[in-house]
Amino acid sequence: MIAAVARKEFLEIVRDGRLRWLAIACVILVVVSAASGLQVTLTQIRDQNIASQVDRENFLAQGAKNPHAAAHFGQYAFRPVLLPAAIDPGVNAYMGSMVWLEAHRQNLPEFRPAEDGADFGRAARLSVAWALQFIMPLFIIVMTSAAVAGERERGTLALALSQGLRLPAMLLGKALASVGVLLALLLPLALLATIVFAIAVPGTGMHGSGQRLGWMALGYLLYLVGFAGLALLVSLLAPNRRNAFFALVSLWLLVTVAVPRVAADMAATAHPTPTPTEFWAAIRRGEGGAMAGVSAAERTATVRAELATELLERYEVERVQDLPVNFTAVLLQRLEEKDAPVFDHNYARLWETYDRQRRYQQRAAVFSPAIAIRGLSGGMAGTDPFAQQHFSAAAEQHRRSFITELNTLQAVEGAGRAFYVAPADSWADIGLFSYDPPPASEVLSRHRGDLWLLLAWALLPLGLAHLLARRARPLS
Amino acid sequence: MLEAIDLTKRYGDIVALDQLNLKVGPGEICCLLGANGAGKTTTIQLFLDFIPRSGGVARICGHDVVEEPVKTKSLLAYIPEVVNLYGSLSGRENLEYFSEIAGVRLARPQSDELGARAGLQEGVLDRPVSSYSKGMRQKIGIAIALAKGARVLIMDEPLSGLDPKAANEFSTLLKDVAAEGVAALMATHDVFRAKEVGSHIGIMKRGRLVDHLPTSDIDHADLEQLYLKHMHD
Repeated sequence: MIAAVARKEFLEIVRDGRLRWLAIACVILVVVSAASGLQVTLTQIRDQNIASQVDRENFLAQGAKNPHAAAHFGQYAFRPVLLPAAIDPGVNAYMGSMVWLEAHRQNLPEFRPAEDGADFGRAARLSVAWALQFIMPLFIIVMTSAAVAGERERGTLALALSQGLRLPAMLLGKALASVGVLLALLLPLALLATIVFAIAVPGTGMHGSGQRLGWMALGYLLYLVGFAGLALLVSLLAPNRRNAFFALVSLWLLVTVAVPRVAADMAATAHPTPTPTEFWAAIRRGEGGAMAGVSAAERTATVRAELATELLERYEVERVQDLPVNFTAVLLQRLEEKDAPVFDHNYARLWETYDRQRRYQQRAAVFSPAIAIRGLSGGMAGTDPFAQQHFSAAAEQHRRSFITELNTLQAVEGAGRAFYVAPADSWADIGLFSYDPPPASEVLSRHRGDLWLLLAWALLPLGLAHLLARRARPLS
Repeated sequence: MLEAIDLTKRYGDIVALDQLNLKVGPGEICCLLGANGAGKTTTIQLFLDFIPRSGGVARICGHDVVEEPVKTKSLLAYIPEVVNLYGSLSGRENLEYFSEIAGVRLARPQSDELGARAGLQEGVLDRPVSSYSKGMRQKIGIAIALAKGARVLIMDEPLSGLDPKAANEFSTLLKDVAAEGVAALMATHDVFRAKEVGSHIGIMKRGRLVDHLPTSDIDHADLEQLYLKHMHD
């Protein structure tokens, strides 16, 4: 019985000329978005590869120089662009794509794609995620809003019920048909995208992209099934097609636009992000460190005096020039270690602010599955602030490690010399930045709440419709 | 086979059907006559369990329509005033769909046979229903009822809007079906057609069955007089 309803419904949808054109328009939109996303992502990957190569060559070719000068020459750490970013660019355009790693300072990621020009920004906004989050629900509403209300209005419901068809079975059949149409539209596209991605980027599994795409697909399926369930529920309760349609469009607007916007604004108000001026001022004041409030010059003088006393005592010599290590290099390293808690403290506060905003918004996801899917999708695409945070932490770890290597080089090789110049081939021994984005399982653990919400969203309207349908006399 | 005992329907203070007692046996065709609002459609909707009753019982083949809705639906077929079908589907697809949800899967030859029996010309079944006339839709409705092999036929103004030829064909088919032991209840305004096809006539007025008599006991003219008398009382 359910299969018969699903078949009939599917046939009706497929034969509806208006829906056919709408479906074609949606498919074109998704294809264009995917192509645009892929092109942007591939360009970013290619540019990063080139830039990374050039940066490495520059570092190696800096010639003979003092290791601390090499530490100021610095390195760039590039945040890898993941393949799923082609589906959901998230806030990628507004996040820095690389960090300059240098002595004394933990920098924020810079070079935001959004700064590269208006055309780029526009292209980034047209994405598969956008089409799936905003346009496909609208297509589902157009396709499903008349499911029960239309049958009641046309009079076919009476005949169907007199034949012994139960309303819950009819609803399930219609839900199956809606999901079937969605799969018929999206599965071939997903398959095509997988093939194109595999050809365009060798090794589509890089950084667990396959798993990430799988979780994204599940999330979007639940999100869209939820809209189908909602459309059926409203169609069951509405007196006619027109009322059902307008009620659903209003709900769509509320769920996909209004609630997420309001939630984002409220989150930013409740947990304001510090301005760059405030952020760097706090670091300059040394907040979070042992010498907060002390000026940089005073701090350096104090550390220098302490270190000198410590080393002269340890090595039992009278002058720093007589130490078996280069005093300046050890001092530089000590200053790095003293500054590390300051950076840790202030960056932790910054990330905590972002996380609080995220959690605040996640609570609003109870009223808007769009927030949940945006969180899950952006997380899996590696285009959310957490991806930025994870990358920044790894880059900072590398910065500290490579600055330590340079200071150690100077400390050992420059012992007894006032100014040490390292040979030109020294830089090849300095470690390279290598970064693995978090595995899909780690991202999932952060977005488990989103996934549960999406599951509830997918099941609740349909379940409620089923429950009401069991009790309803749809013609009375 | 079809029985109402003190069947009542109220909408607030308004009594739409007042303690209806009616019995239609196998092979009988009971035609309910009455003006608009007399309670004919309400009676039919109560037998179909489309609306909740306020009192009494409606039974199909001994089964209470409220207590056993699935069972009673499997025993009856319903032909509304306008057989509304899915316009983008062909007559055959409609016939097969409505039969399948009643638990009957039709093969193509069976659909052809049912279409022919319902009076549809060859080839018509494969045309989209959106191109059908009202008479053709009614015939699909009959084919759906025939496919189900129902023991009770409930019809609400099925002849309304049909041309005389189509109405005549419908009447003939209805009598054939009844001859096979099917009990039929038909609401109609058409006194002439009621006398012609019905084995019994029920006259309803303001929710009450004011007269119930076998058609063999009365001729056309007397039936018309009786009907008009009740309407003017």
